[in-house]
Amino acid sequence: MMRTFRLLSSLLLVCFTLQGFAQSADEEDPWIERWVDSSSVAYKQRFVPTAVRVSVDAFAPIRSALDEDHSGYEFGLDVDVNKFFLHYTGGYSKQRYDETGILYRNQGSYSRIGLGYNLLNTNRALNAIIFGLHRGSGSFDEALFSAEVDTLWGGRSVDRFNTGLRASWMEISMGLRVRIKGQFYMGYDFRIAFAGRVKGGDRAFSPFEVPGYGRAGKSGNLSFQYNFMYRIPFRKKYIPPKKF
Amino acid sequence: MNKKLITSLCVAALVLLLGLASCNDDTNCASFNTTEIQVGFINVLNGNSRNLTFREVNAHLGDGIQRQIYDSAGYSGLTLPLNIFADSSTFYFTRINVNNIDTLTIGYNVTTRLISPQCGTESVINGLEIRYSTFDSLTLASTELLTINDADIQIIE
Repeated sequence: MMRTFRLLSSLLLVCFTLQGFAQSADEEDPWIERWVDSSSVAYKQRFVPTAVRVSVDAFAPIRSALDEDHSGYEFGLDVDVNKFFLHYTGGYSKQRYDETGILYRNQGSYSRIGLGYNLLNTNRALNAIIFGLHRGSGSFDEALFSAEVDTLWGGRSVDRFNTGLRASWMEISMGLRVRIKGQFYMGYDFRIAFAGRVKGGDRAFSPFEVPGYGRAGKSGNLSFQYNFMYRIPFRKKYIPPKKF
Repeated sequence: MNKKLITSLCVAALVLLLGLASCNDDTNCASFNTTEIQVGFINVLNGNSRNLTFREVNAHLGDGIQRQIYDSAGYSGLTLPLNIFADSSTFYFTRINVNNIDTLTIGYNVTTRLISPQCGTESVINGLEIRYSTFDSLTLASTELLTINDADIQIIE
């Protein structure tokens, strides 16, 4: 329930922020030009990579600073190719859950590669609504400290370690990118991760949480992320004429 | 991009999030795993379930120590708690009016699973096998121990 509340409050914050700033987005950009007809040189160059958008997870550093049990970071790179984005994400996560009788620790790194499709490819501010398909992978270690008690067989305290685990999964995502000022963007990503698999390593208990994926035993995990982004153009982007 | 579009996207995202939030609910501690094995009795003549009368059923705790888990009565089935700290459990069945004591040793693999930090851990038992038995005939219905199973072991007499 708390997780849902955190997700909802995060989303509302994003929405209010974007609403407040989005009006300044419609600016002239020398890196953008509309092609006029299909015979133009611009039209023929429309599938050439034009920019890289660098993003960072906005909440991860705040959470790391405020919550000593959870730390990590995540950054992303989007290569802009016409209405598509070639996507890469890298991240690191370290978590600790300390409940009555249970201490669980987890740390690992992960990455995602994938392809996104921009539904707003005629937008001159290069705002974007992106649907993506990604493949994630990562490696991680876990530790579980617990006391087990059985009325017949007695009890014992057990320290268990999973080391050198590797994971892979698939993700579909929906994201929003809104230009705030110049090449600075803000936005969010919803992700549904599925088909998670954990392989290899030395296992003393069933893997519990996979960095970048979520709960290992679940068939699907939902996540929400709020991003700050900066677009670095290296070639003029030719966008289609606006449809009326 | 205008404010109306952003509002529409945010509403769509909220609906999507609310719809999927239940999938991420961590508070459900329910599980299909169990550490108790169900034993049923089958009549060798007609294949129907039957009652067997025992003077006692004991669990072997190790070092020659036994603890009684069922006392003298007729039973249509027994629930035997497996030792989660070992890879096998042995039980002794003493019948009424029968001199010998039957022995059943069950082997298995135990894996610990963290349900959630709030719910705690559970033991998952699979790879069930009959390691030793003095019963004339018995069958193992499943190699996984789940609460949805009927009888995991059928003793045919």
